[in-house]
Amino acid sequence: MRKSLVVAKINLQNIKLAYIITAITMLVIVIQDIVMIILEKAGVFRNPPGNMTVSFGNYLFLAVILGAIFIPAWNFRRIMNLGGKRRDFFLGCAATYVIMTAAVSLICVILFYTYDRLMVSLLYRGGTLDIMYWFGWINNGVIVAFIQQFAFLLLLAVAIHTLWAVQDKWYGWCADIAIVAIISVFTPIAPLRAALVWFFNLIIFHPNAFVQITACMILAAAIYSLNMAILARKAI
Amino acid sequence: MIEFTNVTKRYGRKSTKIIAIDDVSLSVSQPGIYCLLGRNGAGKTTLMKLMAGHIAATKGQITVDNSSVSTSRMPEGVNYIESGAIQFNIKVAELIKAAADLQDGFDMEFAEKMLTMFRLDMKKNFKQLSFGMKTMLTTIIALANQSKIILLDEPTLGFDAIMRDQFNTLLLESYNTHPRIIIVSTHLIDEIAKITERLIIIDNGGILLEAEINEVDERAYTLSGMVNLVLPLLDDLNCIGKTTMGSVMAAHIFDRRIVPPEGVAVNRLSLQDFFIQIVGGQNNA
Repeated sequence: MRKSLVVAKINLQNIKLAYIITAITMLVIVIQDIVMIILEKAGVFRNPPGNMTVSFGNYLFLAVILGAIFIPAWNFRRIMNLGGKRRDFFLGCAATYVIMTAAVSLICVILFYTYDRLMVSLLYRGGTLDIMYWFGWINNGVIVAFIQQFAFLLLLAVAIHTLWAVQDKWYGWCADIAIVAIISVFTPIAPLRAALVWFFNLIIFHPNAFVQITACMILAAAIYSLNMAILARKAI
Repeated sequence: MIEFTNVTKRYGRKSTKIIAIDDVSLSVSQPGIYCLLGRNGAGKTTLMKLMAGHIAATKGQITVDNSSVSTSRMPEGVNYIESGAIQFNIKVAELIKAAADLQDGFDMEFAEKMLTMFRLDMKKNFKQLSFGMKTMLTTIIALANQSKIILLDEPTLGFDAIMRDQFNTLLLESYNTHPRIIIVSTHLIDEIAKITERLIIIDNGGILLEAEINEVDERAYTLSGMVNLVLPLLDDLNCIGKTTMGSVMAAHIFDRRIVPPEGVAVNRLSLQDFFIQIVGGQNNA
């Protein structure tokens, strides 16, 4: 357990590129917002009353997505070179994503009630587009919404991690093709489209928060467990 | 204890298949510093990676301490480090700390002593180190590990003469502190010979020779003299290579010592020359 946390710490400290890209993106948004506020105050520009923007906190999802790409791509071999074991990497990455997605979800909630509110009062009078809001999670209360968002982000992170971990193998490419095929084939065919809708309802839109959270966690655990077999075959 | 039983490793698809290790059986049981010699592409790295469970064997069985080794069952007591191993680009001190946190029984005292001895700047990031220093740092991390088996793949690559000498000191210091199996693959044969006890020569994916250094010193020599004097002596000896220049012949022997007849000189065969002859000797024969 201790070594898993060490791996998690190493992982979180060594995805600087993910943090930099996210920070730059968010900085650009802040600069854009400041410039627009100044222009509005100066009377040069007037934001339309119904204008909306993406919630500031949601840009943090970029760090989760990029982290889930960089960790299997870069960190595995480096951790092995430091004397780590595959089992430590497996458990450590799980801890990494739990910590990371919980932190991102928490910051998103905080930003939703602070920065977003400020921007709504100053600039985007139509409101902000936040996934907690879009997916209706906020209707269950802020704490449940935080957990729903965390569960969804965890599922997203482990799915990207797992998919990325097999990209150097033929079955990784098969998985990519299968995902594209499912989406493109299922969408035009009504019964199959219904299956897709059912699936997305389960992991995102389900009215019962407990069901949505449980479905996301079980699916995340199932997908992540595939990494045991992937790591066992991975050459260093 | 490392045990290879009829191990074969093939790379690539059917049409482009490369046999890196070909039906190798090998046993390494006694603690000591072992030297793994072989030409480029002989199979040294593959052999070491198989021992560490970094890659899977195509055929045969590998065991370490009687436990089967594969990529899914990396042996706990084996630490493999390759030259030019990539590391996180963080400060040297942070890398050492991370390694200490990841490994049970990491000898921090030894690591710090070696970092000071080799003047490795703890505040520098990994990428700011020279190639030689990077390798030295990685080697220190490996040797500070108290694993029962340490595998060092070309650890002196990129070292200058002084660093190579320091490396030998490091290796001996480590071995004296924690006696265990240390296998070093290298091309700098005569330098490693000063500290190594046993020699494993690999060629074309097969083990060509496994012997004590003392045994090689004792049994490897050159007979030189006139062709008509040297040639009859070779009938009863294992000649691993010979060079003829006009009427003078130098025959390289790996066999029992003989008392040469008058006119034939016996000269010491350096380890490097022995290696050249045993691996490529047939070209001269």
